[in-house]
Amino acid sequence: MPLLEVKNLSYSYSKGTPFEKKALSDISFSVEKGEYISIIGHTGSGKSTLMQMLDGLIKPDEGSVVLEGKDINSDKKITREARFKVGLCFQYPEYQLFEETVEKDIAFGPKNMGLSAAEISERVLKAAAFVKLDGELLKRSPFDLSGGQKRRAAIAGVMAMLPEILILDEPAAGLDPVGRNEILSMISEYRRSTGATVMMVTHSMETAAAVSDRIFVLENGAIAYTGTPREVFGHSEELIKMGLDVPVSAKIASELRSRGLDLPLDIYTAEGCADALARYAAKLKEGKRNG
Amino acid sequence: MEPNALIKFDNVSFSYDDEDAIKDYAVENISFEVKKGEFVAVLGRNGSGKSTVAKLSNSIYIPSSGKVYVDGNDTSVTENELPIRKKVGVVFQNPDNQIVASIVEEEVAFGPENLGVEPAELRRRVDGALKAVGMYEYRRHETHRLSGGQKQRIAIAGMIAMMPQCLVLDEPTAMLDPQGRRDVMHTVKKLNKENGMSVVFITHFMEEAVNADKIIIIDEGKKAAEGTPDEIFAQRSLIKKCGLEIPESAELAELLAARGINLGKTPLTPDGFADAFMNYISSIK
Repeated sequence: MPLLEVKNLSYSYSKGTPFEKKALSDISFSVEKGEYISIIGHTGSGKSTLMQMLDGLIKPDEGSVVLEGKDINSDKKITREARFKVGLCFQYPEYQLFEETVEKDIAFGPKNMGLSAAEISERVLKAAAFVKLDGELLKRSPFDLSGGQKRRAAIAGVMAMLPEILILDEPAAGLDPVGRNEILSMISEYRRSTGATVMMVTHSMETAAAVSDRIFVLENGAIAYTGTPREVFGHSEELIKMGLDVPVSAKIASELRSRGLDLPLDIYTAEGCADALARYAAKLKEGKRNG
Repeated sequence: MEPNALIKFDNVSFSYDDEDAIKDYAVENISFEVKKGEFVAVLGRNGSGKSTVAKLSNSIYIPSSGKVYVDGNDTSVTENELPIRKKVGVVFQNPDNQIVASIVEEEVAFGPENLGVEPAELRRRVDGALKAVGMYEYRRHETHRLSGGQKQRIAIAGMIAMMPQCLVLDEPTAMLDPQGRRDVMHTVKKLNKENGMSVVFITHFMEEAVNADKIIIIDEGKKAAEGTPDEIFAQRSLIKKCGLEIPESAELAELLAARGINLGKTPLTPDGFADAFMNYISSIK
């Protein structure tokens, strides 16, 4: 049984008004335990609606979200359980920090789960360790932290609930290259040590190519492509036509193909691209030598 | 000062804390110039002092020591404040924090109206600014229904309508998706090329800096480097030390070099890379 199964999800905003807008139409997929999934798509493609639906914050008009065999919208108790099992971290989560100390802010989720005081403090320390916020910082006001530390404190607040599925909306947005890599490695560390599934919305195709087992491409509320990075970026030409970005290596390969070079379609990493180009040059040399 | 320098930072330091004897400077001893019509990219990690530089450039902040001149006018002189704000417009990162009106054209008119521009002229400026950013068709739309990229272009239009000689953009694409980023980049480049507007573009996306006339790297409040994109991105250890990266295309060229293929001058863009590689294979005999 897959950990999460989404069947024929549809949803419209402002139903029955002139502003009615279809956000999702007939989306189905399943996700296994421990998978790392990147979700890519334009603003307005339905990514945020889908994420909120997986957490039970929005109820689908049609279709179902089945977590560990149970429809999360079938009754209130199951919906509540789902909100702890699925940890949702919104974009710019640091705007949602509110407590007196970092420690208390991280403890907010576990407290709502009704855990014992001992268990709560254990979880806070564990989550703080995932995001590398050490002892002294935990006693400070979250508003005294640097931007990058605030982001990490906010993500720790979600991790402290030890969700089986950690969903993040652009966790690295607005961070510099070093901060970006730090956040990504913390997420990987959480996944590695808890065995959790990660679903991440990202606009960075390099990130999607580097970290994911599978990529979902959303377009106009439907899944346009799904598969491994190799499979999805094999459609680079189509993704570019959709106005989406592709990894720079895929862009370069696509440009060289359009200039008449016979290159494989599955180029999406710098290493892979360098290998393919080196092979191409070697073959050309060989051909010239043989006449 | 060079006659064609529009903005000049002369040994500028700034501290947020004016009382302390031992000052913690956000920027320290920074000097550089932005020439008329020049596109300058400012790079640096989070907290390096980039945004402080933006706010020093049009007298939102006044230097603790040193001077900032806009078109020869000292920003620390109170009477200069209004003329300086007309000459240098600043666009910030979060489009939601800088939009005040509910209708697009009213938003764009807000700045010039406050400058006392006459109604007929105001109409011309607003229409012109909206056309310049490709948002004229949206002039009667509600601002809150726009996407992030559209809002950011409206914020830029609001600045253009005040007809500044220089646009300073502080990470204007940080909150946008790739399409929004491309649209904003395209708009800013067009204003620079076609209208000769000077641009100071603050970012930590390296690919947004590769076409600049000049790059300035700020690190720990100090100017760490200044030069053309080719000069800057050739300094790999410096880039790394400042918490930045070289563009992917340059990275790829390096991987190829490790495989015995030397493309010559390091390409910084995908097109530049494709050109260099085509060149390389046409030289194979």
